[in-house]
Amino acid sequence: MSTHAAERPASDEELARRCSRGDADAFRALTDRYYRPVCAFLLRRLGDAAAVEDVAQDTFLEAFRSLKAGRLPERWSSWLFGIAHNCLGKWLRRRRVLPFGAADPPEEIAAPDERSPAEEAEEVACRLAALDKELSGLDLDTRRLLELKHKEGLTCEQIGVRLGRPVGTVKSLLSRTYKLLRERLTPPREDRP
Amino acid sequence: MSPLSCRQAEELLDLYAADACAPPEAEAVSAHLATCAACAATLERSRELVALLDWQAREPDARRRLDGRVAAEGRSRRTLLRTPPPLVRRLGSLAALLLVAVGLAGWLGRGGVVPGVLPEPGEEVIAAVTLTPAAVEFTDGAAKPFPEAMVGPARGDKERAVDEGALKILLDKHAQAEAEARPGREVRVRAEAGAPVRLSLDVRNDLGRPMLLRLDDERTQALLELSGPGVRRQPAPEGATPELSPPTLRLEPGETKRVTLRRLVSGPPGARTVLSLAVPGDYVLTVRLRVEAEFPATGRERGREGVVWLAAPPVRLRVTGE
Repeated sequence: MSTHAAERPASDEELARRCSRGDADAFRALTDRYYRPVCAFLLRRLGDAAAVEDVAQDTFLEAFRSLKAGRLPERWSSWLFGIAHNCLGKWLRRRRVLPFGAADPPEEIAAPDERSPAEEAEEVACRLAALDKELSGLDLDTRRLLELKHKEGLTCEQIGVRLGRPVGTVKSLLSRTYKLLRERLTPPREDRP
Repeated sequence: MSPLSCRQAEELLDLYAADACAPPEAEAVSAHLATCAACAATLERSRELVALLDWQAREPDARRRLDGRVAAEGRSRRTLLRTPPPLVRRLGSLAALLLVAVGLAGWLGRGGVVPGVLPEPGEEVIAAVTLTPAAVEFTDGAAKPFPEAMVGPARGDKERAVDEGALKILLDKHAQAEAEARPGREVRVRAEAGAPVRLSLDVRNDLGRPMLLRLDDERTQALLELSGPGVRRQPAPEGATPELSPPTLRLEPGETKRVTLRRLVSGPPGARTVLSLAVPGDYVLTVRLRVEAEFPATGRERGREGVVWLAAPPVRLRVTGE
């Protein structure tokens, strides 16, 4: 019986308690569980990977500091998403993000959304998992192309030079890949006419 | 570059979302998006994909950086709790509430995109004017009438400005409409007689917590006045409601959604077109809205309710003869 207990993963709240007592591994375990969901939640609102990293970092650091100071949440996930909300609001105010940018496209008419942050995050996290799977199915050349574009942040012209291919070919391959991924990852839009 | 068809635009949308179009192509796509709702919706999905790819590519490094910072924090002896004192927090909430209620689109000129507005087929966005908060009050007694609340640079926080709301004016594109921006916050619109007008409002939540706006008939009041030839300061009829859609709006922090005002001053029930500037001359349209907001409790903050008043500067419309 004790073996069973030892194998069962610790609850979030138990890990939080351990963290507040100075167990650094406990916080790492919590980060393993929640880093993606929190980033997914932020990604939906910010739509910018660099901004998501900033706010996610603020969120986890603030949670860590609070635990270190002895504050123990009753329900870890709600508490953490609450911190993420606050950090997001602070970030937006600090950057004085304008509601709309001149180049932004028109938005669609909004529909009420009653889902919780965790539910929304789960949806985006599922799409990230699906993206992982789709990327692993791409050939090496295409994965390299995406890496140069999205990890190294190169322009199509720079990618062309790096790979020794005409820029038109680079754009064409990128476009085909995006379209393929978009079609495979886009869920049916039942809410749209 | 000549105007794009939907098919041509769709071929470029993913590259446009990834900022990989040549400038002439990007301009052509922008122009197409201003008039095509279907391609705008596709672009949204392209942008989501690009954001996912960007984030997925940097996730391992981002995670390593976070672990490094947490480890450094763990070694630090001091614990930095940055929770501000209660008064500052309350003031911050009030200022943020003003940010919430409204968002702004600036004037972009005819033929440009006024972000946040999705024209219907046959419509063209020709002008946008700023909505500003007129007052905010909490129902639990923490009322702060404007301007004593923190519109403008807030007390103790000179960096904070109040974001603004957007009132978009849409005229039928066949109306040969023209508009010009004036210094300050006045927009002049020149339209042909008989041009129908539709209004919509973009609402942004810049508060660090979710917000639920009650826009149903019982909770929302609208004061809409039109003055002009043959119309003398005509308010909305007693008891008339603006038919806001959707009736409730949940906004997460940082989120912007659009509310459409389907019926304002006149027009048949359910009509999208609400004003008909039938007689040539100068018109002035004034809009004020009272909206109830609910802020659900979060891990740190208790639930609250509040009321936000929004007011727009007068919109001047010059209607020419046919």
